[in-house]
Amino acid sequence: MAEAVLQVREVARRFGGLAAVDGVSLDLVPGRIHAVIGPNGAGKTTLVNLLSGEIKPSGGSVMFKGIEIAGLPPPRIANLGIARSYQRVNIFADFTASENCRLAAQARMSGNWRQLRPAAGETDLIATGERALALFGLAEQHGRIAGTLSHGEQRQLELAMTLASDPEVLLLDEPLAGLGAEESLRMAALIKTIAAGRAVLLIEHDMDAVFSIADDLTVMVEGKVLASGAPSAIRRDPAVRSAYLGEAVLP
Amino acid sequence: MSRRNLIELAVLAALALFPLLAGTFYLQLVAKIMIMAIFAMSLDLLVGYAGLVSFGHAAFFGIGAYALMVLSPQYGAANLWLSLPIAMIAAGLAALAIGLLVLRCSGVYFIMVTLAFAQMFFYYATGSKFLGGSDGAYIYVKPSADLLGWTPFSLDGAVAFYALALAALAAAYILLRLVLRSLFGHALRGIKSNETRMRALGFSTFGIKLAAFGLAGALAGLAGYLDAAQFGTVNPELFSWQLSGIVLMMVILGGMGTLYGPVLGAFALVLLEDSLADATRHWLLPMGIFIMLAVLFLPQGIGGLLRRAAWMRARG
Repeated sequence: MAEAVLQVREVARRFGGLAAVDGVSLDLVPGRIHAVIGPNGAGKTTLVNLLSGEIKPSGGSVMFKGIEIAGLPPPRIANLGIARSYQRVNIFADFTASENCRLAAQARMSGNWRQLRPAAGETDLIATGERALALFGLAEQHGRIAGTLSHGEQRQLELAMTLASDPEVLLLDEPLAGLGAEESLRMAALIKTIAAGRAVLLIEHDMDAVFSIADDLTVMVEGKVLASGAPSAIRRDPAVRSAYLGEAVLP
Repeated sequence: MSRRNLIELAVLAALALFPLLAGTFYLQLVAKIMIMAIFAMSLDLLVGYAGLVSFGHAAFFGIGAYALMVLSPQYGAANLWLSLPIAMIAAGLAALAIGLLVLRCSGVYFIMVTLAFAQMFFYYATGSKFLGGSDGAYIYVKPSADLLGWTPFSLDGAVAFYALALAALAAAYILLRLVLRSLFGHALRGIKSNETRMRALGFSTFGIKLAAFGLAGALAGLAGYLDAAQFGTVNPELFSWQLSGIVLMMVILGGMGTLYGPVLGAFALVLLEDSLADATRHWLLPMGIFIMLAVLFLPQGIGGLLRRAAWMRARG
């Protein structure tokens, strides 16, 4: 197995007396999808926010290729190559789909003076964005204003933007939320595709999708890791079955 | 060439030919409007494109104006080519310094702290003997365009000053258009649209907003400089919250986030003020009513109205 690119150790976040995330450790490895499941309120989204910098951890360490990133602001973390998507669609609603992806590609561009060049002439940035759109099946919608796209298309755009910045680590917070069964299957397959060569953290409620594409699985309950390991082992874990999954839910 | 370019050229040509028709009074009036238009466009960069509603933009207008006063010898002329850039740089640097502090706030707090900073300048100018105190000071001689002994034009004539104001307006407009179509300009619009997402994508939004704030301050300084040069006087009112409010009104009335809207807003507001003040001593009352009606019925400003009219015509 390749070496972990993101090592999370004993990360914690307290809100007053409540420990939303309480000593979570996990590894993200290039080419592997690490799914985190757990009931509502388990602290999964807080975990993503801690890793992306939107919330500062109150303890623990997050190492990205040997650099401590815990507590860095979001732009710094994103610029290292760690991109995230949001549980609720979070796009530039008044920009076109293509512009949304171009902004994502532009974010990691180097050189301050290059920022002064006309946006319309930046063909390589635009092409990067268009490729991401095409991968998510939005090639024909590229000129549409993002806010007018359907919910499913906006979800696809959300992921396309995450990909357009060409990250090494992807933090996906419920990318299938609100999608129909068929859309979910297609999206899960796409996530598997973009995971090639990238380390993916996948928060998801859709158990079919999780068990079909996850390489590693961590179960969180009340901010803590209940179990972690291969999906097949987790599925048999009696503690997990009683605490969360319930016999009926398991595929 | 797009249709917008054609309209822009037509407006420029009309403004350039205006001196052939108009007398001194109207030349001075339109020059004043064009100066206010530069001021309003600079604010539109913040309000309309970055989503930063500054209620203290007069601070930088005032700095530009006072810079000319300070740089002018008592009974002599300041050099245009020297004093103009210095005034703009001074206003721009002040904006960068203030921006470092105020850009940490957002929403209502941003409105309040920008207002507070402008008020600080207002009270400083009021109390400062060097700056002329509450009465302000005169600039007896207009800046000279002397270039190493050669003077291409004199600003004493109304036509020459009008030409300078028009050139400054055109330059500011072109500069802002170039900035807005650049990657930087798109990032600025992205911040207005969704700053959280911009940061998550990897943009240091603070630096982008600060650069815009500095540029807007420098252009407001240009407007303030020209205002002081035109009227030959400065006073603390140039820093006042009333002026900050008037320029904000020009942006909103004209249509924010369009760049040409604030130009229309400057024309509408100054002309209205002028004609109402001629007609009645109580001109503030009809003025207030007009602005309320405009905000109620023209949510996108005059610019939005024109755009809608053009769109309806295009559809037949």
